[in-house]
Amino acid sequence: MNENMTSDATQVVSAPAFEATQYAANVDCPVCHTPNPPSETYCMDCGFMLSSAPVDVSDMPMPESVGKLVSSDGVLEFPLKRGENTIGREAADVLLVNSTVSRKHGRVFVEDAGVFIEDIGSANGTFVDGVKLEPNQRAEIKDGSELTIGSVVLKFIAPEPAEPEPIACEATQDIEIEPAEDMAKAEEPEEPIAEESVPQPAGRLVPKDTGPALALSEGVNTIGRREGANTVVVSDPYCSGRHADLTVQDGVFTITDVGSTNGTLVNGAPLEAHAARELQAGDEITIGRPVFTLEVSSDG
Amino acid sequence: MNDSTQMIFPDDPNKTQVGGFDPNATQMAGGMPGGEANRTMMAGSQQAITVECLVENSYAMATENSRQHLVAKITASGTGMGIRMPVNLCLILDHSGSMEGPPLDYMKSACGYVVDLLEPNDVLSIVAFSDTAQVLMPARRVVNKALIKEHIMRLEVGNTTNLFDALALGASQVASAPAQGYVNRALLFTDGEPTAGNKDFASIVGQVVEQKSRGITFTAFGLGPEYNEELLASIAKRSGGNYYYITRPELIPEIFRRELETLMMIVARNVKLRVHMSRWVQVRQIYGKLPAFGHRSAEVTLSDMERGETQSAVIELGLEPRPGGKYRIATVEVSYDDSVTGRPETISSDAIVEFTTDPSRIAAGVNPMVLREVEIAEASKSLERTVMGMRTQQVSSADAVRELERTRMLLLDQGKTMQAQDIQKAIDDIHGGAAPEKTLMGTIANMDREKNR
Repeated sequence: MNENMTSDATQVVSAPAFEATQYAANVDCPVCHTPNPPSETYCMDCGFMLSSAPVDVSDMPMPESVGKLVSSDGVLEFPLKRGENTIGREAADVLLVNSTVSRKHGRVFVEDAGVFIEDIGSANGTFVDGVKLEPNQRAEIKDGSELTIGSVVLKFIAPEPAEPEPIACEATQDIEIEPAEDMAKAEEPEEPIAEESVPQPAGRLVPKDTGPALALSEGVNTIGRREGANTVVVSDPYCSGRHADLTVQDGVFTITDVGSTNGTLVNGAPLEAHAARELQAGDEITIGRPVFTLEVSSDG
Repeated sequence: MNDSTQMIFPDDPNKTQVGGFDPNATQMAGGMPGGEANRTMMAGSQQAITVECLVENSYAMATENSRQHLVAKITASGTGMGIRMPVNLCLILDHSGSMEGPPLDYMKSACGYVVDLLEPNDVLSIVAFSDTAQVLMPARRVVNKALIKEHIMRLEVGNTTNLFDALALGASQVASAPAQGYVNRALLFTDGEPTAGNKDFASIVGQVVEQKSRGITFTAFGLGPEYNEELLASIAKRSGGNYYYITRPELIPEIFRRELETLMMIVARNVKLRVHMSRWVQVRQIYGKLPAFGHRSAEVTLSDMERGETQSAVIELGLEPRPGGKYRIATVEVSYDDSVTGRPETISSDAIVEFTTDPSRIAAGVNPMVLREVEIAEASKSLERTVMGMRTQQVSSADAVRELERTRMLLLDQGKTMQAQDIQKAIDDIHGGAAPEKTLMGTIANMDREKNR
């Protein structure tokens, strides 16, 4: 698998002609697939040394992914581990260097029965979705639960299955991905870090190949590869960190490419960057490489 | 290790090309040494300061979540020796009621001493405060020294302590003189808690942070047992200046002289350190600092740097699993204003770690130098805890002495004799029935700094 990756490393997507010369010499990172100018020694995104080949770890035992706590601005991230995770201002697993957080503030327990949070007598308290916890009272938290620790707001993000795998195994070429595999899910995770999940989506982007549909909500949907920075995350390496904006307003869908590397295509026609284009139900939208069909909700 | 000291990338015309297509990736790339810094290098001028990244372990497990410390050592070179930058100084002097007698007399003579040390190129202003703050002498060149001293001698005792207004007025005096080519600094001298005007700790520190963003640095001198050491240390720390505890009035002139010498040696001002993290890396903390976190970045203010000085920032990182191989886990970028040229400069250094599946390599990859720095950073934290504990009477004197003794031994072990002496002084304070907090606050403030001159 790795040999494949390396030999394919410089392959840029069958790039739209208007961009072909500009990026011809880019080097794709064999680990995270970010295109890098040939002068870079280390990948600009994951830092991998571009002149070397990665060691495949996909068949090694990896730590179990049990979810993470992410700050409301998406800047701080704390991967959780099974069992007890301490929260506090000093020497804690979830380390929050903030004067409103107690040294020993609380604990998160990741157990078979679920994920729980407990306040251990902090000065400024712990809140779950706005409800204050009594000291030593355990409360269950679910994906999207909002935790307020002193003045710090964190969101619990439930595990994304097999997170490191796509890094090691993902091929740069267009191969069929087994639909049953966990990694297929991880490629296009379901609604990751949606800031405000709207109960009834206005529409969906349904992938042509495989993977879950991506929900679109009323207003601006930011599309891109980078988690935390986008409301709709497309984990394909040919999708830019910030790729396009899809706006839904009064039943009208428009898409704007925000200056992506590999472009956005509607029914095969490339969009000019920063120029909005109206969409109709059933339109085929290419985000870098993956192709989606726009589905519009009947009441949206 | 060789990789980790890599300093400057070749000027890369492709970088702009990258800029357009991935705004997130650009944030890292673009944030790294900009063209400006490179051009300066090529012009042949030497950097006033250098930065070197040291990782706790040159290996990390590829298959596990792990943590690792990173030390950024920032060193000011000895270049420019002999050239002394002109200073733009404001003395902000407390003349509240408690200053009556020897404190006021010594303060006046210390100010006279400062005037003697200055040259016609330097700019001096004086602000005095008690119930209100007033400009005793507006910013002017130090030409007529006798006249300036007369201004100082006219100072008489007032009543309360209006610190907030004094800081604002002092800063405005510094700002009224030209900044280019000057080392500017406001020296705050007080012996008491704020008792007039805005007395709120957070507002006062907030004002200092705001002034700092305009390039004004404060040094804080606390005299005697009554002032608020936490407030003064914060004022100094948040603005990149120094903090001094003056035990007895007769020491005022000596400590003023020490600060002035320091000022005249400053080679880099407005020093900021920014850590750019690669993917699957988190900054957990930067010891002793309150970082401003951004997208994959964390930024802190460092003290202005004098010639030959070294400052270390100890950064704790969280590393996520990934395919094996060598990675740049972070880039540390330091930006500063060169005191000699007045130009903003940026330097950077990469932290390189190899992710391996072989646990035996982890044991072999440890850098003991980093572990020592971490120990010192931890000691600084425990000192802070001891100070807070004593203040709230949660830590007994006996426990405090034991804790201090341990810290003192550690510092001696690591060749930090100056800091060890401070701790000894604090222990003596406790034995003599005095409060050691003021001494310790200074030790904490200077724990990450080292002067070799």
